[in-house]
Amino acid sequence: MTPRAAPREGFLPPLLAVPAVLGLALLVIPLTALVGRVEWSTLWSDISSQEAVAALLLSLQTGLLATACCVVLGIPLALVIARAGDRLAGVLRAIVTVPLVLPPMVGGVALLYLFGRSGPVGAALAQWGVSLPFTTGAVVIAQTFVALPFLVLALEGALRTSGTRYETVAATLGAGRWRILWRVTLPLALPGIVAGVVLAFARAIGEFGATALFAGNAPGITQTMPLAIYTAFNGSGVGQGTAVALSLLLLLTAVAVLLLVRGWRPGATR
Amino acid sequence: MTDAAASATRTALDAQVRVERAGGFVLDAAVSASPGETIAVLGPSGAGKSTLLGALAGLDRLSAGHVRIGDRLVSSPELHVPPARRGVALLGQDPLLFPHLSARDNVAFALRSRGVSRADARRRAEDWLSRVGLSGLGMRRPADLSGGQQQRAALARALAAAPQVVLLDEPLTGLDVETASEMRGVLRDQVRAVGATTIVVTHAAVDAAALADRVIVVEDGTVVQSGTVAEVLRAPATRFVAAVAGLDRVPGIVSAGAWRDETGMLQLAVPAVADGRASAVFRPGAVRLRPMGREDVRALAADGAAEREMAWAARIARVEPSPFGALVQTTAPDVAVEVDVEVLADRGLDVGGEVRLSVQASSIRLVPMSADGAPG
Repeated sequence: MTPRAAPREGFLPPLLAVPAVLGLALLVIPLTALVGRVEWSTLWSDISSQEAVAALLLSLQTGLLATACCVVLGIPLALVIARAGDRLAGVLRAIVTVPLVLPPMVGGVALLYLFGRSGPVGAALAQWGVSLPFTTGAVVIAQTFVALPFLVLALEGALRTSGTRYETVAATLGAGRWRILWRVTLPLALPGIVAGVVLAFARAIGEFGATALFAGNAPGITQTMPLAIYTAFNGSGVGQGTAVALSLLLLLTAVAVLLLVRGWRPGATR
Repeated sequence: MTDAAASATRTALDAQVRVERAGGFVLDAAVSASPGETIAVLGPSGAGKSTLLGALAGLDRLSAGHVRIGDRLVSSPELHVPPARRGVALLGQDPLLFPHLSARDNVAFALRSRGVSRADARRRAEDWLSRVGLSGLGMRRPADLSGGQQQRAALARALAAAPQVVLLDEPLTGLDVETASEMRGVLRDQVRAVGATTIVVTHAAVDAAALADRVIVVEDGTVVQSGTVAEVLRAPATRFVAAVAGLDRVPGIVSAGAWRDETGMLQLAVPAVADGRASAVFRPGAVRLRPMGREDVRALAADGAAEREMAWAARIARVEPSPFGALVQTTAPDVAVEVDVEVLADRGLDVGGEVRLSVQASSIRLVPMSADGAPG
């Protein structure tokens, strides 16, 4: 006689369902309300207006660029943290977490002081005739600043979990460090990389606070989707209908990205 | 220096290692092997066997001593050649095939790491897989292979790296009996075919006997016995080796024509044996067990050293099932007794109960011990 398996639902007090449902409602109902406010008759013209298209394209460009920056800088950073000693890893992880919990506005102010004309880096760049604030480059930097921690922390967790056992095997088989990195470490961490990249892209696309302060709100140059929505909602430039339409577009993008990731899980055993 | 160079050409592996671990564990052991030789390292868990392999493979650094592979110094307190450049392959209990690569690509990985071209590596990987009996399974992912198949693929991968020294760390432990038996044969054949010098860590006599030419026994971080497999199994120097060999071993002393164990309970007249420390070695199946009667107590007390039979009173500490009945572990001294199923059914053997044990003198072998416990 085999012992009966524990019931799948466990032993939760039924009353917990009340706050759980309320929490779910808080997440879902506003989004349905947003969809309900969409004026379907003008939806297409709202989305295809010149300012909306410019914002959408700028968001995609800067979001992808920022994600690329996160990949180039974040993967090595995650690798270093994952293979560092416990104490050093703890310190590094705390440093990486700060921008994550920091209000993005504060990040924007900090970036402005660093790269502004009187800032230490800004002054040096000014000598070369380069000024970063209020340019598309500033948008990318702001987005990278807020998105990088997401990629680093997601990947670092995955790397730590997969450990160094396979790398040790590869080393005893005669593989050099670069071969081990490309053929063993990174492929094994691929689920973590994908999760990190998606999180970073989503965060970059949605970035508002740091961008607004550090890059400004110039249509076509620094006005990304969130800034365009904010501007439209405040009634200057495009109308509120546009704000709602753009919001819907961002929502759909987010859902599409999530579905894409769920459908493609590398390394999963089929 | 010329001496060292001369001896290095004769040995494929020459190691004298000292590794200190946090927590106070120290491994201080020597092992050397001539080209193509297979050496088994026996020892209880925690004795330092895996640490010894780690030191040879370059996963652990030495605090003293050296490791020489062929005529090349690869480890010393000042020098540490990384694992990748030692020409050493390590195969453990867990096959650790790369889960994201097919069986073939796992083997090809080892070849590619040596600079073999991609196409050539694929072809030779298939060849390796068929050598270990995995033809046609090359495209499978490790998750789609059985435990035995995974271990075969891991062996193919390790040997494909063309190592000078193969280190096997309990490669059969995770497998079921039947698979382990097959794998043992594959291991022996392939390791011999490659001609690599091999160190195999195990705790089973059957592995040592099947795979190894010589055996060293490691306990508490030091080598306590070494010799050919037959020598070591015949004359176990410690309780652990005796257990591995399936023998009972009772340490004692020969003096004035009689052998006595440390408690003085066991005595055997041995007129022709020289004085000195010696252990009595016998098979658990050679021990006769019967319940203790009143007359036995008196007889055992009066007996003294008999020439034909050694008899003593013992207490049952544990009864374990065994393939032919039960293994009864008795204490003072620690002796295992093989008991038939019928005997077991006839007499209830209670833990804590007293029994009379006896062994025919002709079934007992006296193994001289040197002062440090190794046979002298």
